[in-house]
Amino acid sequence: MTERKIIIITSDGDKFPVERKVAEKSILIKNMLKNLLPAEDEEEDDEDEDEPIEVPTQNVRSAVMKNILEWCDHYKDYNFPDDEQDDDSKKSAPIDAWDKNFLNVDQEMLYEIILAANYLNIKPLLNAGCKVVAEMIRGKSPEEIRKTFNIVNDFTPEEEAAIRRENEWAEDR
Amino acid sequence: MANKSRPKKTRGQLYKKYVYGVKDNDPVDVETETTLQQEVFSEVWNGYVWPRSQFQKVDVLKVSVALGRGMVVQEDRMKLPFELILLILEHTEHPYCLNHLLISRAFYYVLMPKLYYYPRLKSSNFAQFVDLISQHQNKKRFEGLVKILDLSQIIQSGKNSYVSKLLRRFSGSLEVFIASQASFGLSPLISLRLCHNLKILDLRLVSETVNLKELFNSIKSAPLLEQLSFPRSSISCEDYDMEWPSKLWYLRLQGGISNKFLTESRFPASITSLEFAHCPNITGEAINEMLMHIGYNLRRLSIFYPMPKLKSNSLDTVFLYCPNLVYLYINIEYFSKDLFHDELLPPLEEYPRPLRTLCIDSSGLLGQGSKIHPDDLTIALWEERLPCLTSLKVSMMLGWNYDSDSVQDLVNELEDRGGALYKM
Repeated sequence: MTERKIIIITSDGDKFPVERKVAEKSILIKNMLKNLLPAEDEEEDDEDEDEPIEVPTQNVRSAVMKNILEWCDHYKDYNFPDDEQDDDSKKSAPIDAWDKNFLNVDQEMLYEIILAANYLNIKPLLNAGCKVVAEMIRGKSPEEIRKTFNIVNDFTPEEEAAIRRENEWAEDR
Repeated sequence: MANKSRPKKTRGQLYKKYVYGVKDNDPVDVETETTLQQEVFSEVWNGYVWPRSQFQKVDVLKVSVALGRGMVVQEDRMKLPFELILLILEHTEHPYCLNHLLISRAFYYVLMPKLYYYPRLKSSNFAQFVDLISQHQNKKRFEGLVKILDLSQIIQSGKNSYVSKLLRRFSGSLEVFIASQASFGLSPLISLRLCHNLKILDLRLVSETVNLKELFNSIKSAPLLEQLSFPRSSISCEDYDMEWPSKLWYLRLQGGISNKFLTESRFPASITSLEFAHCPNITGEAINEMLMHIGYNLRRLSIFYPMPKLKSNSLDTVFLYCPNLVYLYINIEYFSKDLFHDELLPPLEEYPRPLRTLCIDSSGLLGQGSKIHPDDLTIALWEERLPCLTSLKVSMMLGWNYDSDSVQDLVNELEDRGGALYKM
């Protein structure tokens, strides 16, 4: 019994043929395939078995998808623990060395990987990406954080001073 | 002395102090400034415009009118969506620090309640926090926000009046209160009466004398209380007919409680987790009598060193009184090898004994190590009298030789069950 091929189509039309377990690292694609493909033991009854399944991902361009699939391929045999449990300990755990190296890309690409991981629902990759950015903004002033994310400061100077005064006690935490 | 609580004088708008070189703020100027600002603002639209906006809420009419007037559309102002930036902030070391509050208005509104949900108070910022909460204009502001008040880090900077004030201010929302070592006197105790939603009351650090009757008077008004830790200080109590909270499942007994307290109080049957620590007056007989009454319900039992009035075999009968324990923490000072004898640890008839974790601690005093031998445990395991035990934690101070055959037998038996022996 051969496994049906899966082809991921990116927003700019590139096609990536992948193994099912690589594609299923994305919960979005996993759920999509669950609906499209019958369970594995019933697969024999399927008529157009040889036809590959095409999965369109409109929000991800091919350069980003290439990176994402590289990550999925690396972890294809690894089962991540249930993400509902122990949320706090996972956030405080240090970032995996391979992930750190993998995410050592320019800021634009990093943001795009985070966006894509969020869209494709790949929690471990999203967490790793968030940790890398969190490390980048560590100890930075509000102005620097705003610059990092291109956020507009909508506080008046008076408001800013008032908030600073009021929450002074939370400063050195 | 100036009267500090006197309200500050408020000057009318018309009375301006004259300062050389500073122009008076003409009201007309202010008006033109705001209209100017509005105009500039309306020329730039931060976000998508239909059809790219899709399902976002956009005032289509207003935007199209503005577009007709030549408004510039700036898409994707923020590099990541708001919720992802929030997620990134959550991954930082201090997600709710002042720097993050100051990023922008939206972040302030999201992060502020989280900051006050569990204010991280230390000796260094406690006074500032109390100052903020005591200000008159803030009386109602923080009312529903604080759920966890943890004063365990505050050593000397606390004051009875401060603690009492905080308890009163947060009384509506407070669910967890952990008292500091000092400054838990009568007035905080009385303020506790207002905290109707309290679920955890932890007084284990308190070293001041607490009147037990007052304490019970206070927790009477907290029907939801689930966890209670007694103060480690001396406790004065003459009356044992207290009303215990009906949902209580965790009880930590500490301090100067008497034998009479253990034997005459009517502990609720809901208690499943019981701890003893720092009880200088308690004897083994009293503990056993108490366990006779409520031991059947217990799932977790811990008895910490030192309990000076317990004898060297006082707790040998624990398994008889508490057949449903899942976790037991016990000190070698207070039991002998008879604890694992088949008379005191018989197999249960109806179901296998559920004990999964056993911790044997030692104070390290001379001669304690020889009180039990690894074989005592191994035999109990072989005879299936502890069928569920998989995690055995043993203090290093017992002086067991981990290379000896007897310990290896024990390790092998535990590993066969998928468990392990841990050194403490």
